[in-house]
Amino acid sequence: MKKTECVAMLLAGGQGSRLGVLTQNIAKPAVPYGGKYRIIDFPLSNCTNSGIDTVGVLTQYQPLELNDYIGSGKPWDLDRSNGGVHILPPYQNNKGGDWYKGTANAIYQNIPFIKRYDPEYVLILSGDHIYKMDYSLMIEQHKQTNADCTIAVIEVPMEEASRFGIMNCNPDGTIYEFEEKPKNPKSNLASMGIYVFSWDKLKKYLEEDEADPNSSNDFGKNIIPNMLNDNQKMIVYRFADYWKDVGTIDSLWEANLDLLDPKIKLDLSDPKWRIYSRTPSAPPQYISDTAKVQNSLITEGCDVYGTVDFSILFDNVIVEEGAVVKDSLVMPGAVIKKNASVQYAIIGENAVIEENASVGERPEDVSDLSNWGVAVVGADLNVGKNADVKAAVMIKENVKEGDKQ
Amino acid sequence: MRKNNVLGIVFPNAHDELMGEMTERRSMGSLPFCGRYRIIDFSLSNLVNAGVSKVGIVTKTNYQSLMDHIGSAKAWDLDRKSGGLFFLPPYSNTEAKVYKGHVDGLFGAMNFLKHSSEKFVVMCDCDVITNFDLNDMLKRHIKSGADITIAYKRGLMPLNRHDVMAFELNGDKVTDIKFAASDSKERCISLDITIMSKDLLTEIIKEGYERNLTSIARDVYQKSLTKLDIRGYEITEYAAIMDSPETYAKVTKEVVCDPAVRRDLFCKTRPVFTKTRDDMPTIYGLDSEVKNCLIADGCVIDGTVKNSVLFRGVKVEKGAVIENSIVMQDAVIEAGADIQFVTLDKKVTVGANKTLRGTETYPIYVRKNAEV
Repeated sequence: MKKTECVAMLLAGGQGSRLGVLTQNIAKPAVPYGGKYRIIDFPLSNCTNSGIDTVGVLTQYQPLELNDYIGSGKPWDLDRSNGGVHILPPYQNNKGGDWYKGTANAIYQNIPFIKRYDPEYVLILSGDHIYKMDYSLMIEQHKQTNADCTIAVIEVPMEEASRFGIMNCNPDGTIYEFEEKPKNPKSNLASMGIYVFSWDKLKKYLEEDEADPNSSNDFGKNIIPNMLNDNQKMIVYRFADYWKDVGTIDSLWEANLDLLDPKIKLDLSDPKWRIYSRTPSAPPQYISDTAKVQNSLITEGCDVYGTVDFSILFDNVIVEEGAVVKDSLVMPGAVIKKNASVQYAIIGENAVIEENASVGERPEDVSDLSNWGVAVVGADLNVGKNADVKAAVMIKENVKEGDKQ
Repeated sequence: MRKNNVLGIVFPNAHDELMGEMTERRSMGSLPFCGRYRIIDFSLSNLVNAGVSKVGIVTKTNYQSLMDHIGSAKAWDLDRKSGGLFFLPPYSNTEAKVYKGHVDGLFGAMNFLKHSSEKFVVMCDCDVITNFDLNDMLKRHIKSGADITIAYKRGLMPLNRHDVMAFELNGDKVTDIKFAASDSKERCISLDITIMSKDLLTEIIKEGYERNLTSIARDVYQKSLTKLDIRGYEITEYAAIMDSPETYAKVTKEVVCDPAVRRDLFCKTRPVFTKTRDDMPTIYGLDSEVKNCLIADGCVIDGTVKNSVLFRGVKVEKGAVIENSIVMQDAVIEAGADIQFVTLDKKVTVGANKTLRGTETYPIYVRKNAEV
């Protein structure tokens, strides 16, 4: 087989449990984002735009939707005869089989996959973040510096540094210490969970890690510290553009509405760095005579007869006459019926908000702000007529007519 | 499930001459329509939604934009090992020239027909905008035992065409074919979507070529009514025949203003497939005002847009006003510009504070890449 310089391995097995009802039936990387994307479109598009054409996607939790979405990899130009995108679920071999025990174990179990391409480098990615990054520059630095491992880092505000894995490094960028969520951080360089390894080194450490029965088989907890202890050459790669974790309801809501903030540097319309996605065949969006649309992002297949303000409508959403959608995300196929109100909320795929129902509240209308938050309605659910869903509530079952939650 | 026994043949160049400047550098089939489509998308989607998996496109001239659009035909799921999409350009064999009518056009495609094993052929031009159940038509064709079935709609004859067949029907049997002038009388107007067996088509083409016939309607159908059993199939869904730039504007307006037309054309069970462009969703700015519009992805709207269609990637700057217009992809309407009853082709720029006004009956057309 033709030699491949770099193989990307995308860890997409995570449940994303903090997204609650939104990841009940789908893996976190399959969560819709930005009107027509899913989170996984970002690493996949980054790969293809960076010239990486061999990508393994490691799936474990609720993979059906993700498998379906990735398909042959055509939307990302990753349907290749040599390389391309491959879904890698846990499998059984003659010694039995195992679930992926941790991030490192997931890669360990797929050493045969990587070996087929005989790469120099392996790029480890996750499907948890929204960002545009040219991985080829990072790999180039890895080559130039002759590093064993290069870790992408981003400067975070010092006061938030204790929420991240922090890399402490010398002025030349070599890492001397890694601290996971330190109480008193020494630096504000947070690991982005993006690693470039020289393949022979990674293979060695994966095999050693697997042999250690006490290991939790995790990159952050085991592989990186072990390599540091052995004085391997580990260097940071500094990244300064937009990067956002979408692990919680609040951060998912924020990262979406960031697209409407002209001050935020996340341009999805750049023809030189397109974010590709699998798009449904839907007609153009229709904005009616009675509609009022302001400061919003709307995509194909939507029919808008009501008011939409500072919100994102995903494909095939219907907002009926008199309905109001403000500061909200309405995911594909959802219907907001007449005179219903959706404020500071995330409405899941194909959910229906019946007439005069209300979901979510504005922070200024809540007496105790500590109880305020974004309301969420799960996929395929129905919120009945005149029902009232308060702020910060997560709806997991149908809401009956007139109910208050 | 067995793959169906039908071959599709599409004529994207038929009636190019009717659209004036709009088809100067493109075929009728590749004429942009309704925000994100080319007219041929409707023909191809009708075929594909009926399970047809082998389609020949008989091209004539100006087919570069069409080939660009079709690419590997992935969007229509016609990138197949078995079957799929075939371009049949002129000069495909030594005897075939740039054709004048469907008969000699098909003669150039004889090899394609010969090497296909399908029993039936569906032929269509690209001047008809409709989304209908072709499978139902096929079932009716087989059940009736007819030699030829041609789809029609009830309505007024198109203004600018003199070659459109109007059927006289007895039940569904065509008893007479007239090329009637446009008047106020409702007729059964042929939509030139035709089903017959491959063998019959081959025979017609051979004989037609030997006799130097060009028009399949005038020279074959009309003259063989006594010999052949020709049936009509009524399309009750929305169907429009493109016969002029004015009709193009009128049909677009019908799609924008009539929810029933949109329901027919964008029927959920029979999606219209097209090449995707991976634009981001459309951004409606703080000062935007949009009423009664069809809008594709990738637009940035900071101005006012009413009763109009915006194709992909259109920029409407602050204070710009667009009314009753069709703006094709990647056009830029700069700040303070004001356009009404205008059709802007692709990548047109309308400069700041410029005004362009056509009228409902005479919309202004601005050619591709122009700067106003």
